[in-house]
Amino acid sequence: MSSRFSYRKYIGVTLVALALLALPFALSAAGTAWVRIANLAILFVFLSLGLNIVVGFAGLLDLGYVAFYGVGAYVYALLASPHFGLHLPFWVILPIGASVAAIFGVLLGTPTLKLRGDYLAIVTLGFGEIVRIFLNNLSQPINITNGPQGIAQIDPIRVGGISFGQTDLFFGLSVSGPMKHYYLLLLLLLLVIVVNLRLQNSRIGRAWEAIREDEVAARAIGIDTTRVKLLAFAMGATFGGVAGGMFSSIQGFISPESFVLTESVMILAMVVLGGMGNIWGVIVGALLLSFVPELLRYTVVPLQLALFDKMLVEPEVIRMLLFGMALVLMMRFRPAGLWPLGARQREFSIDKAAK
Amino acid sequence: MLAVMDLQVHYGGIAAVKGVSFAVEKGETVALIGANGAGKTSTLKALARLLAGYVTTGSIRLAGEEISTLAPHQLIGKGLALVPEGRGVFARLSVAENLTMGAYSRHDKSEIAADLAHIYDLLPRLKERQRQLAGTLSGGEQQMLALGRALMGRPSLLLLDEPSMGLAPLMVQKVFETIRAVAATGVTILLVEQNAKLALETAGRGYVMESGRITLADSAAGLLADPRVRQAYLGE
Repeated sequence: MSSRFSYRKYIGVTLVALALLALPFALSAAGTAWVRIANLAILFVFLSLGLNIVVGFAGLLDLGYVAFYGVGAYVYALLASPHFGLHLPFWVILPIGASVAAIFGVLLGTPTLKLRGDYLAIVTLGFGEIVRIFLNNLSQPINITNGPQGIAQIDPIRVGGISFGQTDLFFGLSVSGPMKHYYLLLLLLLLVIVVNLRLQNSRIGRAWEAIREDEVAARAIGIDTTRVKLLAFAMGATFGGVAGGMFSSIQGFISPESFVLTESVMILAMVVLGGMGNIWGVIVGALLLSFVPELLRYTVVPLQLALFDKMLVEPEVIRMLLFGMALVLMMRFRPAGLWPLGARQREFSIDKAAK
Repeated sequence: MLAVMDLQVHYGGIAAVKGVSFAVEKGETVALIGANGAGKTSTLKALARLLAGYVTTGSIRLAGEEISTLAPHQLIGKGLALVPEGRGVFARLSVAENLTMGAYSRHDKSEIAADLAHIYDLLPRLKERQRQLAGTLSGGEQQMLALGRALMGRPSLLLLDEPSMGLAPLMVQKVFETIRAVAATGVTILLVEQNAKLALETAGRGYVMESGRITLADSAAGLLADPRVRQAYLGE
């Protein structure tokens, strides 16, 4: 029985892996834009998983998460662009960006240790805005961030002799830049998921659960809540930093406009919609909120033209309308998210039914 | 075992505890009773080092060692466990997970398993519900779970903060039966409680707190017989 199950599981995993490997070829048939969309979706999965550590595991509401994304992106941009004339390779910058983001995580965590809920949300929101405003204004007196113009001509990733900025032929297959990014992101995603699963089942993961449920009780059973909370902020920020670095190198251009409050809110919506605390739920949430708006973008206009012979409502307006409605409906009918953490609860009801 | 000397707690300009001294000897159950706002819970919180942001002065010695400068999470390692007011179970974790979480500071796996079995013997209701989420338990069951979780840290001194709070009378009786059973296993208990009658029936000795000071100290039987206690706390 169990061997058949694991056999099935093995086949399932193999099929999913093959599908993921073939996906960019299928997508590029529909247009390279779709491969780019897939890449952005994976970046949002990174971000959601990072925020999930803070919000889902440790229960600390963070509305300024995009700040770490921005920090990672700017670290990459400054160290691999003509702006300072530095051109470090990506495997050097990515860890630096992650570390700098982690330091920012601790910087945010330290003054907010005693705050929870609404108050924490307000402070983290302020933090996100502070970082954005700094990025916007650090062009004077010394030009560090180049202000609102942002930083352009960021180096593409280069592995061995292969540049991710151009199309290459491999075994007769034409592999474009975005497709290479896709495979690199997929590899990183695998790593991020493994790290998250390990974290959740670790001693630290259990400590996060405890402080999420009751901080006083957590202290009483011997959890150093200060250290554990800072660790949550730092770990979450690290993922944000990595995502930021990848974003920088993929886009080739960044400006403070990419790191606004709406992005933080969007990432939080992905975490909440998917199911706070459940890694798989969060991934589903991030993918849904990344892809569905893009699908709408490509269907709303033709649909209106077919029905009314003219465009009545801008796609952007419909997108936000549907997005808002979806969130309201979710909160009404599935407040714990599409795929919530309560697997244990189901186990229990199954037990009860069996008796 | 526990010796408190001249403990004071100030919230801003307000003195909640104005210099109390008391002791708990090894193996005994001591009750700290008093009306709402007498300073009982502040005293207990100061012992558990949960008032870090406020001014607390005085000396707290556990087995001869000064603990008033430790961080709260270090106390369980010294043998002091708190069952917080309002129970504080981990609502979205199962009963079994709550209990194992209680052994967070320990690393002796086989001993932990043995202690878990022992706690299920002591609190059979928890065993029946071990896979249920703690948040779905009744108030009394949650209180028992909080007690069991604290015991999983193998404390030598257990601090109980208002275990009867918010429970139905029948459940209160059950919880106190459990507390007596725990005391019988040799755990030293300091019990803070508004329900003076029950507390004194459970404890060997008691202290009465009034507006931040200890005003009476006697054996539990002595306090139960004291006309001042009878009039003020037993409703006679």
